[in-house]
Amino acid sequence: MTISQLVDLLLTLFFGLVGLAAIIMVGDFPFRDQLFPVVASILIIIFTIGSGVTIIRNMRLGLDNDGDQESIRPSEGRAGDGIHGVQQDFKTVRRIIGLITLLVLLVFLIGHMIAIPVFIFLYMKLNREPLWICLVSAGGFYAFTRAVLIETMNVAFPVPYLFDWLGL
Amino acid sequence: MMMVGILVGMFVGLVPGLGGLVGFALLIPFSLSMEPLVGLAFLLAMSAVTTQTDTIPAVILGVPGTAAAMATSLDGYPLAKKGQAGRALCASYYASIFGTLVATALFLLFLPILRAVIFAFGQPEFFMLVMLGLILAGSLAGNSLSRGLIMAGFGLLLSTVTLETSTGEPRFAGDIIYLWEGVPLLPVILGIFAIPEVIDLARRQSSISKTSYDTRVSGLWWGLRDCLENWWLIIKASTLGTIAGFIPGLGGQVAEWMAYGTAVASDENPKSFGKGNIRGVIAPEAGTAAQKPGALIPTITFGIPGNGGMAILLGVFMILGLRPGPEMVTTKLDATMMMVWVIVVANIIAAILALFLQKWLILLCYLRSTIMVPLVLGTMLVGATMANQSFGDVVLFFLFGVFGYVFKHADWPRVPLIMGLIMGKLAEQYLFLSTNLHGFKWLTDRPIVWVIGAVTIAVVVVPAIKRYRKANLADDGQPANQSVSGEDD
Repeated sequence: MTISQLVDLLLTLFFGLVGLAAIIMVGDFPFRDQLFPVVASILIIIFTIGSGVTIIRNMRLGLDNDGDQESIRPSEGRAGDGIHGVQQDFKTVRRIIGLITLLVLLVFLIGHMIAIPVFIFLYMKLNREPLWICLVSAGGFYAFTRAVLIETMNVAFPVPYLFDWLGL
Repeated sequence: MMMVGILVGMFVGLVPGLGGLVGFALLIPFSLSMEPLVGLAFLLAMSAVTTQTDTIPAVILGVPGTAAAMATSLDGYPLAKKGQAGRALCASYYASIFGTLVATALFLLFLPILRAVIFAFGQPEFFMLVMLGLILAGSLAGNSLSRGLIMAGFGLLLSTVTLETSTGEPRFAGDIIYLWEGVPLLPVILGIFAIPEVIDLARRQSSISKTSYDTRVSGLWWGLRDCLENWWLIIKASTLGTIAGFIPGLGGQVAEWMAYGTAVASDENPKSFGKGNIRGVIAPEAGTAAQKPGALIPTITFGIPGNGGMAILLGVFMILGLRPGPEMVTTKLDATMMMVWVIVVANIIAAILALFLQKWLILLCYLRSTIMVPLVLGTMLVGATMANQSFGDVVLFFLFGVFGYVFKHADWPRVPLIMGLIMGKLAEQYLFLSTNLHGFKWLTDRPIVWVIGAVTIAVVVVPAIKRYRKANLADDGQPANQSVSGEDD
């Protein structure tokens, strides 16, 4: 079984279970409120069964999930990368998702207005951008957000948890 | 505001790896605080011009700015290598303008027919039409019919998350008050489309283009003459582009290749394509430009978005209080015409700007991803929070971003999911009204419902049979061909 087949199988299973759970969950609702979710769920269940059967059939025949001879999908890696290239790609993606997670956590803790400029500065500095570019980008972003969003458009960002805990 | 939209559209079209969907993601938050029509003009102007500037890196560097400029680069880049970059670029700008004008003319020509069709429809027909649009989008986007339809179904299911007014009970929302008003569109769109693009941009870890380029850009009149000489090709390519835009799920990439195919098929010397034939630049550019007004037609009249960009636009329609349907071709015809003309005018302005600024615009292709990634990510995170101004937006943005990345790389199309989420509310309303007014008789008593139903079933069954036959051929040891798909704006 290839990674793409495993991912497809897991996603198919996930959506199938979601469809099934949805039908059970709306069981107690009046007819008008359960009609449409049931229609959508049935659509999901029918096609997850179809998709599941196709995946298993293709696995047996040694085909990829698009019905073609097994090959790496274009999105899975660049031609000629080899296993090292794919591993390197995976490492990079993991690092970027980790950085985005850090940004989200920072936003919760210290708020958009501080967290995002700090993230911009750190990301650029970690990637060896010159200090002046890091400062101009982070400062520029802060100035733009304050001037356009907060002062002009009166956007109220949610109060960060740290400020809440400190009673600020 | 339209000018701001044009400038942003030129920027996202120019920088390889961004594109119209990222442009929407960047601008929607700002459009929400504007007057509805101004906000729409702002977004449409942005969306209309991405296909103008994506030609610049495609011709000069051989790197298409968006997926919709791939065919253009096949002949545009060889022309640039012959020292005719200016001719290719100018021809592409004029072809875009003419393509948009032809599509607009077709729209005006078919408006009376559209009106008649819309007035023949009741709630059951609209429900069936929404389902047809969704199933068409699900089956055409991506390589797998079932994956597309599962995603469309999941989108529909997501649209049913709400607090039911009839019972006061949350439906699928549990105790999460944030979800009682439904799954908010903005963080989902931003997460599912933008985060995967940003991750891929960061993954490349280099400047967007390392190719050096020839700064000699000239040939304004040569390009215009080429377009005028190939007027019939422009009309054919634009008509195909308009049709591709009209059919949900096809998108710009398909429009472009259909137009390119026409140019090759109708040329006396097909072997000259790929080596610098100007018709290979004109046809795809006219086709992709015409696709945008084409995609606007089903979006505003039937509420069925023609592509991913239009799906997002439909969502903004609803947020801004506009409702697609008969009104858009009767009492609100002025708003519809405004949208069409915004696309035309934005294309003309963008072409003029691009003609004068292309020497400097090309420098933007050299912006490093290490600068782009945090700035784009920060702007999107701010944008995602602007809808409800809640941390729930941040969570949804992140979750759908991760899911979006998995979907993109596992080849599960994201456009049907968004279309389902947007169209689900409309579909549920139509279904409720249909059953309320007619019971289940609307399924048996209305011929138009049967026709749409038959087309819907054909959309699902015919490709499944074809795929089954293809699989059988593969069983016999014959290789199967891969289908063309495009998940773009």
